[in-house]
Amino acid sequence: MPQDLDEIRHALKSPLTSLKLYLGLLETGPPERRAHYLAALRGEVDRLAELVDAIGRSGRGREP
Amino acid sequence: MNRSTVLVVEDDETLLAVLGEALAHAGYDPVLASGAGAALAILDDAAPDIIVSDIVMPDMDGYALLRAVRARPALAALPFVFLTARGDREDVREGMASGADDYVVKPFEPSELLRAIASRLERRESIEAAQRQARQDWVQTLSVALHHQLRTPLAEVSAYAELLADPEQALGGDELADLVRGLDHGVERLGRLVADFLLLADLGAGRAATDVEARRRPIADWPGLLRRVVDARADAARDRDVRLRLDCPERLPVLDGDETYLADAVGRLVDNAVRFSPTGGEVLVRAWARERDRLLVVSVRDQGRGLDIDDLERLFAPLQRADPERHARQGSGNSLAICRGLVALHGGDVTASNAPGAGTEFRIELPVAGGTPERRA
Repeated sequence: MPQDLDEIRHALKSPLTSLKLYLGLLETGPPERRAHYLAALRGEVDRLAELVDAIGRSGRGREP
Repeated sequence: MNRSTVLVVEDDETLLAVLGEALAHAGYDPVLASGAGAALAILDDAAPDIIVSDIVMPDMDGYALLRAVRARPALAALPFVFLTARGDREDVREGMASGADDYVVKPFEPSELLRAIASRLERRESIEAAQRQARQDWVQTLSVALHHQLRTPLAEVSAYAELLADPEQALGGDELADLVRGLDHGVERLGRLVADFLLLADLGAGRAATDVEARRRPIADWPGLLRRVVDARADAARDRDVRLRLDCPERLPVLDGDETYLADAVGRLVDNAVRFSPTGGEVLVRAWARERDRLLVVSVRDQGRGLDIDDLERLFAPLQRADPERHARQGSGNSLAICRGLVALHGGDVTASNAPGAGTEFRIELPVAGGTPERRA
């Protein structure tokens, strides 16, 4: 579980980057892929939420 | 078990050799230098954990060596023990005043020197352990705050994403566009919140200071910098029907600094001012040079509600929780704490006050080579 500052930074950047990329594709990509992008977006949001929860837990000193 | 490296500096060759033997026998890793010059030359390679040095030496004396070592920022806390034949109070005082940690008077029992070394190393280790703990505590505090602050924005983004991804929803073209826009704003906001947290962490961990050292350059075009900062917010101001104005002379003093961070610091004040401005109000950004104390001043003034005087200092505290009960201007999450941190890295300060008439004025004061900002009581 990310406790080190660098680990936290690194862990947060991936889902955020993916979210932005998928958003971009949603706006400019082929419409037939839209459902796929939206599903992927949702997955990334969930992933980010879980990560932030884990960061919060490790901050409170509990088991992840 | 790591052997601590002791750099011994002594011009008497016999004494130097026997000190090396005694230290090796006691479990240390001695590095021997026959003078201050030799010591400085091998300092980087030897990377000692402690320096033991004679005072009276032909080329450079112990005091000068100590000053040269302390001049290096990375070695400011390196333990330093003096060996001297002179036990005069005057010498002791001068040695300690220059930053020595301990003093052993010749002739000394080996145990005296070893005790001095051991106690200095132990003290250094406990200081470093405390610093590590403080950094860890800071990361933990930040982690909890990050979790707290991101919960709502994450929930919003989740809601949008779910709606959009749900095949049951028959979304019309306009609805779809609105939801995507909402999602976009939400993700932007998440990105900003995370970036702010990481910057706050970097400020606390000293990383931002390292960035400034690496990127520090003379900033010759402050008017240009300010214009760019203001222009970047022109659309946001217009959307809120707030008039954003810049008033600064064509020339401002050159200032050494990290342009990215300083532009960020000013930008945050402008963002806050625009956000707390009433509709139709004005945000005025002014800059001038204050010759008498060699300062560059940037002022950002809005016509909002004004500050709760009691909480002037709290405004700048990081990791705040917004209190909906308080109607006066509150701290804007981490933004003001970051602004102050970035300005402090340049030797400057940020203050806030209620502007006469109405509204709030934030001032950034930056020293221009040699100046110091005055601290307000």
